[in-house]
Amino acid sequence: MVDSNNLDHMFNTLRNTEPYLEDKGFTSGVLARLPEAKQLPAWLTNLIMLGFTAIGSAIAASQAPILEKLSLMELLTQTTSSLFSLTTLGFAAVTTFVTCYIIIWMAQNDSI
Amino acid sequence: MEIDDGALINRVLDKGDEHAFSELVKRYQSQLRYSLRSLTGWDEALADDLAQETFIKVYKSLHQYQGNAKFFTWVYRIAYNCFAAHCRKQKQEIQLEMEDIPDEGFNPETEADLHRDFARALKVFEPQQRMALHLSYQRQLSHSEIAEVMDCPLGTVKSYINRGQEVLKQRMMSWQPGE
Repeated sequence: MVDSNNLDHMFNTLRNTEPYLEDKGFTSGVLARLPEAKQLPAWLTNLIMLGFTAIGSAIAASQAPILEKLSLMELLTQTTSSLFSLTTLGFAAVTTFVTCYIIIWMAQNDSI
Repeated sequence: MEIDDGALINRVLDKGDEHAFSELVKRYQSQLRYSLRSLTGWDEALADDLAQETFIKVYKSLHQYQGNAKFFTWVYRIAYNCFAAHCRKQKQEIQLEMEDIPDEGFNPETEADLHRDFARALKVFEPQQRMALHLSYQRQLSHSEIAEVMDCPLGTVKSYINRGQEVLKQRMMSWQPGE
């Protein structure tokens, strides 16, 4: 019967002679089976962006002194536009943009 | 300079960087595939399937890796779960295979034979005990690390290893140093 030393010697031999297994396409096989990041259909992404752009535009329009004007061009050339209205427009645009992308990101990551 | 595991893991988590993940796979594929061959009686195809399944689960659950244990120990835990699940599914089949194991001694003629024959000799053990013996003697993990990998009490691990050692002595009696 083998003693513990002999068994230890065998395990040493096993450890010291452990072969390196060549990759041979193993890693690429794993990568090919990885789950792909979920992509929303283009129509849904566009719909979300359009929807929030419309909401943002409505908010901006309600805050800007545009209702009394005939056109946006007049508003943009209006040298008396108040700092308040420009800030509100910018804020609404940024908020809309950020909210839109948060919604898209959440949808892609199954958070909603 | 080799990028450490933590940095690669962060790149996968932060940027979904598949190239970083492929580096992790390349780094550990040989050790894991060898371990699974040892556990499956040197069934190369099955071992590779289980190794692939392991790495895919690693990718999916990477956000759960806390960094408390070594990354490879954590990978082993997932590999063990894959292996145990496979054994549960194939229990009947494995029992039949075990009945077929010839008890005709242990006479490897080359180093390659030694690895294959030892893996086949391990098949007399239940999967849990096989894993404990492999991790202890071939991977030299501590008993507490093995208990962590296998999610079982430390006493159970010690019992697996002590009882297994006696059986291995019997089965390896024909092996001589220097072979």
